[in-house]
Amino acid sequence: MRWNKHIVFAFGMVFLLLPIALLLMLAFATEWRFPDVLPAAYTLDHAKLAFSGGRGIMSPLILSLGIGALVSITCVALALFVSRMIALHPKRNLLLFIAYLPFVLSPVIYAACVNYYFVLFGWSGTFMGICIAQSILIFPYNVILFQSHWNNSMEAYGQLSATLGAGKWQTWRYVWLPMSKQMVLIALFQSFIVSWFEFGLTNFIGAGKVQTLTIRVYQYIGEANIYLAAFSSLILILPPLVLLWINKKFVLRNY
Amino acid sequence: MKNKQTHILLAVFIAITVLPILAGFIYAALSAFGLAGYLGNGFTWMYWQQAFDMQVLPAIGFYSLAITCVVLFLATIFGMFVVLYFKEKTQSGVLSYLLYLPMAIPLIAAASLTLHFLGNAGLLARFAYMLNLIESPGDFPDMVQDKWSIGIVITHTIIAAAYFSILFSAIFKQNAIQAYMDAAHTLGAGKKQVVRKIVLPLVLNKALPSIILYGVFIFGSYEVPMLLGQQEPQMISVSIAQKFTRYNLADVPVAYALASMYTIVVVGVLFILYKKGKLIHEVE
Repeated sequence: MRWNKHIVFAFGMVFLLLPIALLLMLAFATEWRFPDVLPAAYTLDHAKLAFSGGRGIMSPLILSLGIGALVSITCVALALFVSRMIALHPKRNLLLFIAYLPFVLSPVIYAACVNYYFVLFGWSGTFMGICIAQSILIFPYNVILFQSHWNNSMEAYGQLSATLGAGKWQTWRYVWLPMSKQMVLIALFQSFIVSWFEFGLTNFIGAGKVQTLTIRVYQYIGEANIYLAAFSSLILILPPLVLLWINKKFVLRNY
Repeated sequence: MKNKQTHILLAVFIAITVLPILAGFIYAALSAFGLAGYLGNGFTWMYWQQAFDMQVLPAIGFYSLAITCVVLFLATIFGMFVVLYFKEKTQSGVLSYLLYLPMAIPLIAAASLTLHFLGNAGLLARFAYMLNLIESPGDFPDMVQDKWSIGIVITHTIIAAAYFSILFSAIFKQNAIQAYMDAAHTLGAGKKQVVRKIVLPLVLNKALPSIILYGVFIFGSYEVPMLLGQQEPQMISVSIAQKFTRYNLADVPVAYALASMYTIVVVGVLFILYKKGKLIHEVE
């Protein structure tokens, strides 16, 4: 029975690692022809090609990093203040119900519905348009994420600080912001991942003009360029792997 | 002063969250009624009728729902198995980290990986060739872009199973379910009885809102069915997105009608969860 458990465990491990192994294999394979199980040889050519400019991934990579950073910083900063207002609002539950709506809707359908306004305001196919479109998904996500943060203990600290003579902004600066540091970091990481992974909405609002990394991966897949698609996918999963590890370390420890 | 701040923050929330949804839904509904857009020539039921007459809605609606139910069922079983079989290993150690791997892979890359695993010239087909089970890629059964949607189901199930394992494991730990199990064992309950009468009701009851929300996500999923699905029937997001990008402008109001109905269904599901108090928890 114990051996069975070890075998199932080992099988599970292999199963979970296999996708990454296949991506690594394809990213550095010279070619992978049927019926070979393994490639004949390995090369760094795809990596060089990917970073060579032109149809490579350098510019989509920078664009994705830029959009992810801008959207996550803006949304987290706004959500930190808005979420506290909602946590204390008499209609808290209704406001949170509304906050759930944007990210349970399919992003591509949401994009299709709001696209008219993006075209009208000249945001379609622009960097700013993508940032705004992603923000309408990521901001409410952060509002919900911060709800557990604004608990009775945080309020008690705020009241204590007020009792000791601190003004509202002093309480924010010296009490709530330092106490929120860890939660803000988690929110930044998670928001960045959502933005980094986003495809449907970005593809629709971007109208083919804004090429993020996920869109470039999709193009490689469409062109049947499996090696560059695999290499770009590897780049795509690197930050989430690091961020998920950090997320697990901090968030689920106390779940 | 305090009121002013509250109003400003509330206005920010409404501007970013409420306004886009409301404006998008109103435009979609108006277009579907022929009151807006390129083909807005006056009120008509035509586009809604087309959505039903062509059996577009039943086909994509039931198809999306069927895929969602199958994935949720399989993922719940896998998730429960992982948690019950490996217990503490899901909470610490290598497995607790590796369970995050499927979620670290973007859906577009996950779908592409499924093509490389299950396609006619994929890894599985190559092993089948090595074992003399097939003679050419064409002999390998269709598992992607196939009529049973095997590729879509497998891809979503793997990711969902990983997520559910983590979710169930957290619920297991938080609610001290092991203690209930031990007590039941002491009182003479068998393994199956403990799972059926204690673990399943406790865990599933706690996890139900997250399972339903995940179901809503699969129901509207786009990247995976776009790469791994058939031309007909399509899942709802793929079908709507394709109608928008086709050259036939008459498809656009039909797509808006479908998008409006989809939005109503999703909001309805969310509203039921909200009314039952399963969506929002009080913070202490």
